[in-house]
Amino acid sequence: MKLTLTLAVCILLVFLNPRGVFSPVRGFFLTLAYPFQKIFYLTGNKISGTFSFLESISNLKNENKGLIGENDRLAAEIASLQGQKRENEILREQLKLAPRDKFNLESSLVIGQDPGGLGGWIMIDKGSAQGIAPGMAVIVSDGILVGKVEDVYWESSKVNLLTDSSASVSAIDLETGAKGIVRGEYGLGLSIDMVAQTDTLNEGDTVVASGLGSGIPGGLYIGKIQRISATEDKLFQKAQVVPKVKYSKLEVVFVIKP
Amino acid sequence: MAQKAVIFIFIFLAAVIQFSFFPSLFPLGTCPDLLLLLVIFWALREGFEKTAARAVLAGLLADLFRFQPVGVDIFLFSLAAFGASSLAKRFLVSHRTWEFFFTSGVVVAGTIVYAISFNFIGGIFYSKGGYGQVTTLWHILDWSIALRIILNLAIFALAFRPLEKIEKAFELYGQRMPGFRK
Repeated sequence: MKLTLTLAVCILLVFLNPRGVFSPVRGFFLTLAYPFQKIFYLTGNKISGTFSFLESISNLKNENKGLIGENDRLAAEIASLQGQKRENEILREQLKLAPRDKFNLESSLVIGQDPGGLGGWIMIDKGSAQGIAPGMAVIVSDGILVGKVEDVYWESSKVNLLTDSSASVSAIDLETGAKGIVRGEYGLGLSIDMVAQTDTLNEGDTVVASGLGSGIPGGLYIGKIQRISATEDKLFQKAQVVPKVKYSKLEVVFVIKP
Repeated sequence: MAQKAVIFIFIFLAAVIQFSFFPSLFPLGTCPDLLLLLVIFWALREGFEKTAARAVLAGLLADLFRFQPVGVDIFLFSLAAFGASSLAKRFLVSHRTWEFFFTSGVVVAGTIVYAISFNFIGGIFYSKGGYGQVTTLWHILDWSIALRIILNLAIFALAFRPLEKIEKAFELYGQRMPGFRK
């Protein structure tokens, strides 16, 4: 009897899904859990980091050789980037994108993440007490967009990552100016679609947020284009977008406040 | 009252560990189901009647911390508690070693059923409770279930004796299931 009643109530709750009713309850428990979450998450990261370090010792020699080679390559790249920097500034000006150093940033520690490994969301240690509001863009240190604040609690917030299946951001190919929508692919990666067949997409092009709609400032780096294809109906082009950061390894993020 | 408070703190901390400690410790994206293990452990020893409230609390916290529609994990944990307690009644185990192996077997079965059910329900309600995500057989039977079984067994093996000791130390429980070692 007890089981039947519990199951019946659960089915009703799942189908009715009264988010509004449970939001305060969720907020209460998240506020209660906040200090513990912070301690446990950081401890877990430290332990995981120690294991990674031990694991990496065996690869140090090869890694060192690779790094020397990469250093030489980067030195050459810096020289060529000086020119591209100027070009980028001109492009940003033409596209009316916000300069990256003008953002009002709120630094936050990641204190939890989607345990299902779907890369859907993270929890950060800043909430309404620090002026965080739903819809704010979340970036990592060098202006790379990682997601958007979805739910805000007193001292923590839930950030929906770009890789979440429900995420969509208006984006632009910085090199060709092609516009599209970047979407998450169930935690597996990103893709840009709704790109008109008349627009040009090239592998390796940089995709940035266009700043149209959704409250996300334009010019935030999203990733690089890879594997271009036509959509099933052949009306648009789509491409995989390779993000620059590993979403499962985020430790510190910045919320862009207005 | 004190017993209930201790159980609440216990389940609450287990939820925090499951949703904040494990994800950072297991970057592969597959984490042990600590709350499920607790529910199974209690259901095997205490029976469904006494574990039902704990299963509901554990499920509620899992739903809240996982940001999914409330009810999904309450449903699954209640079923897990009921299944585990039915198995304990059906198969009487008296020897200490066999008790551990029997419980491990239930953990494996519980993990498989839970993961398949969760993937199925999660496929329908994943994220914001929106309907319509395609749920394929491949999505339901994904490879991570095998890894999850190994992790759950490892955590269970580590936690089994400490849980028994805590049980004795706090005298949280009344009579155990018939057939189990007293």
